[in-house]
Amino acid sequence: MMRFEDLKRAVFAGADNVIAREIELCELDSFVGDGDHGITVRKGYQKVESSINEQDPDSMSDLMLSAGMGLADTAGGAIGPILASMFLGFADSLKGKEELSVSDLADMFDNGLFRVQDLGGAKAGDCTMVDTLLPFVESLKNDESGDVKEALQLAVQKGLEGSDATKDMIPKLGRAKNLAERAIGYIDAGSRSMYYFLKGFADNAVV
Amino acid sequence: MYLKKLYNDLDTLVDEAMAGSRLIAQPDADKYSRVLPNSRITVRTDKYKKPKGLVKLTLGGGAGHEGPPGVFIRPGGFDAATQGDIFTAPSAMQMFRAIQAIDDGSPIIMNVARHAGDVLNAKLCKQLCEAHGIDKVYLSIGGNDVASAPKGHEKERRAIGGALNATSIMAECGESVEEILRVAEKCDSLSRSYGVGIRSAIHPISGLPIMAMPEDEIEMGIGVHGESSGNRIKLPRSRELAQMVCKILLDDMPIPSGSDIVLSLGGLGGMTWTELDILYKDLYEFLVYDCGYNIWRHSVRNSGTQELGGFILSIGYPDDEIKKWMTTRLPKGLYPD
Repeated sequence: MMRFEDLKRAVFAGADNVIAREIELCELDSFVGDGDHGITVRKGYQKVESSINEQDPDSMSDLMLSAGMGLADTAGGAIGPILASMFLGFADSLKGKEELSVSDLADMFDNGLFRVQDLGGAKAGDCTMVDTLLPFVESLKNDESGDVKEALQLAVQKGLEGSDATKDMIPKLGRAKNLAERAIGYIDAGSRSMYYFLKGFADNAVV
Repeated sequence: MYLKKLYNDLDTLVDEAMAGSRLIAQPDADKYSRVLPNSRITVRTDKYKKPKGLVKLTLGGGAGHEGPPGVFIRPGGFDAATQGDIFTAPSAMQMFRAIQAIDDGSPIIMNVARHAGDVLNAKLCKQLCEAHGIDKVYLSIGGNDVASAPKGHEKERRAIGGALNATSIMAECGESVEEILRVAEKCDSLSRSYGVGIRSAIHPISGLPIMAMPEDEIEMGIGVHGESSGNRIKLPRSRELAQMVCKILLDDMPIPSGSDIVLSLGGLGGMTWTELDILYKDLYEFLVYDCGYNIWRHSVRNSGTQELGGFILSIGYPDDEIKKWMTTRLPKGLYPD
């Protein structure tokens, strides 16, 4: 079971992990995009942290709402709004909850995934963050252990495999789509930043 | 970078322009509207606030198009407007703050120009509203640029202009949100727009040309931020170009001879009035004498995309219902004089 303090710690750890990978994410993006993905997500997750610190939420749902509002304050580009929508999806599914089982977590991430796909329009295999998030969610849904730590570790492994698989995909959305086949051979930066968030989250969800 | 434009500080360029446009629009600007502190959000003053129960309308868009959205905040116009950076949609949080400022429990329609950033942030804004219990928010997304998507894909067309507008007056007259949305969609579906670029412009922040433009060529189907269509032709004479653009619009939306039409010609900032005057004459002669239309309403102005030379032409084909609303006056007694 995760409680409020666990969730807060996990969100900050996920955000910190993305922020620390700024340069690596920019390099990944520079192969197919304009090389600023690391900067965009670094700024976005810094907003997540500052917004939570400022609003000082005291429920799980409000924690995610604060994070989403921070991201929604970023102008330009699609990543900020899409991530904001994901956090609002988390917030929605956490209403009234005070502790989270594996199946609550699966619901939370599933709702976030739904929002990401609804707003961004990406399907599985389009070479986006969905290719990390979707196998992560599927793995949580299929969990048989009932153990949060174990379930998250297995799920994040599936997320990493999903992100790795974007290497062989032809981008269907965003700027990278203009490159089409030429983008094959490169991991999608958005799928990687999503992995780093989930990795930081999973590693710190249970102490 | 050397930028041959008048400015003080690139970081405050949009805010300074917004402040100046309000000073130019005085005393009306302060009579009807106010800017929320530390924001680019304009809302109506308390005195001219639309009465509770009537549908509220918001407007938003990037800066850099001359005629900032704040000037439309007044009785008979909109209730709130947000402005983003140059050619960049306002953030969802800005749009949300604007809606929070005008929310009185009545339905709110966000008017959204169909550009990726505007649509994305407006949809996110709606989610933010719902998360905060403001659940009567509706999106009215419009765009009718013929060059941006082929016939049969009208719902993918980007917004560059329009000729018909009934929503503002319908809201003041107490029409329901469903009716307003229906007529707004009809106005968009009975309008067609097309852009032509003649001379390039310099982006006021980056200092770079927003598009490359050879001396003797023009670009057909240009976007209002200089988005290239790749469709270059040699510079024709005004009369020939007027006919070409009208034919493109009328091929996409045939209008029977003898019909009333609405014409909107918007210069993109770098058009001279001499050019616009000649072009309008040529449009008039073709549409009235050759096609047999009656120009029921028209507007010609320089609506601006920095100093981009070129224009957007929109033709509207109003039906009786749209004509009725376009000639309806603001109800008496709603507001002080």
